[in-house]
Amino acid sequence: MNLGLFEYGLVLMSFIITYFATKILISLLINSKRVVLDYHKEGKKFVAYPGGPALIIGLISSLVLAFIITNDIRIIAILGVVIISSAIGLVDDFRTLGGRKKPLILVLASLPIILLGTYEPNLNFLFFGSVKLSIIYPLLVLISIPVTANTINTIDVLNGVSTGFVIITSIPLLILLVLIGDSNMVLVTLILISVCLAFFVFHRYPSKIFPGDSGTLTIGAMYGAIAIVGGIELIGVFAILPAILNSFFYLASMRDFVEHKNIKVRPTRVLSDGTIEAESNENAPITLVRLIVAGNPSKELPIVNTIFVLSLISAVLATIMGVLTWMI
Amino acid sequence: MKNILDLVFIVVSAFLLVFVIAAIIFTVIVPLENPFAFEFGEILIVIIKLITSFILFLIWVVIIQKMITRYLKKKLKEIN
Repeated sequence: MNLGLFEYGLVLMSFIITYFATKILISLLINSKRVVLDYHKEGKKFVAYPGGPALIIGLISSLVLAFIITNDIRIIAILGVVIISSAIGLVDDFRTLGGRKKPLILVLASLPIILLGTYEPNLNFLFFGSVKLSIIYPLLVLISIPVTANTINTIDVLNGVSTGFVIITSIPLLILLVLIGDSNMVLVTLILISVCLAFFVFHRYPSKIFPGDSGTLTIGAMYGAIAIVGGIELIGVFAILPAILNSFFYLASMRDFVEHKNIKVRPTRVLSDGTIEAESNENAPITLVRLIVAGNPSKELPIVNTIFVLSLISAVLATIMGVLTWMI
Repeated sequence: MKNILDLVFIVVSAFLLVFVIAAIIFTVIVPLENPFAFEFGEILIVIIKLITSFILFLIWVVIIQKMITRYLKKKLKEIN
């Protein structure tokens, strides 16, 4: 597996494009008063929103160039996923889609992978070998993109979490793709990491911009697309386990797809000094943040760091599993 | 980061449980041969495999949810 100078240049370019696009977008959003309140800060701090367009510009331009360099049809499938999910995200940013409607519409984002046939209907699992799922696999693809997109969207509650989480959990995918020797998918994964890293510079605590649904749905959908197209689906699922658990806790406690904005009792409370504490009301949804601060009220930054530690642990577990699967 | 060890325990347990459930699906359910002689037997066995796998997935959700609820109740009791 070898990446040439062009490929490394493209990764660097994706970082530079996203970095400057985000910088410009922040001033544009602030000038046009497109800002939202950062709930978890002392006093009233407003942050530019949505930053998704900067991520979308970085991803689309880099993927188009990646296709020109590699001529790999799989990159077109991933580009299709990015374009459709970002369009849904942008609509959601400006005209909130319902909690039930969003996952359903996101099924459309899975179609480029199915229509272009850029998947292998085999699942490889450690110790248990490979299983061919010719009938079920396309159905799993249809579900997977909405799941990964919504999962990353649901975990985006604190400064820098969504982009930081995607950077950490993309590393197992990168390691596995390097071992497999799939240089084109390595390039695409590096583009995702690089774009998220450039955005993270402004999104990290204290945030200057929030990605919004357009940003989180796009990077979540692209993460899922890389895992499917690269044939490392199970590693992808294991790596984002803390975020998947967060979504399940939330869904199981709410018993419905409810938008965060429409929750009657919030999972956490912000005290006047900016400390976040868990809501003791039994009707409050169960979320990862509520579990972190349960009996342990904290400021925002230590909570963000705890989420990163958890994602690092699941990334390490996923990497170990992936490497063992590859070796055996 | 006071709760980190408890949360790491939950994440690792969820990981191991997925592993056990995947083992059952991959070694028992997926290799099941079609025992039906009639025309739609092939489709029926796929549906049975899907439903069984989904039930196993629900069992995973219930176990994890019980762990989480117990943890949350214990922690919230500590402050009250």
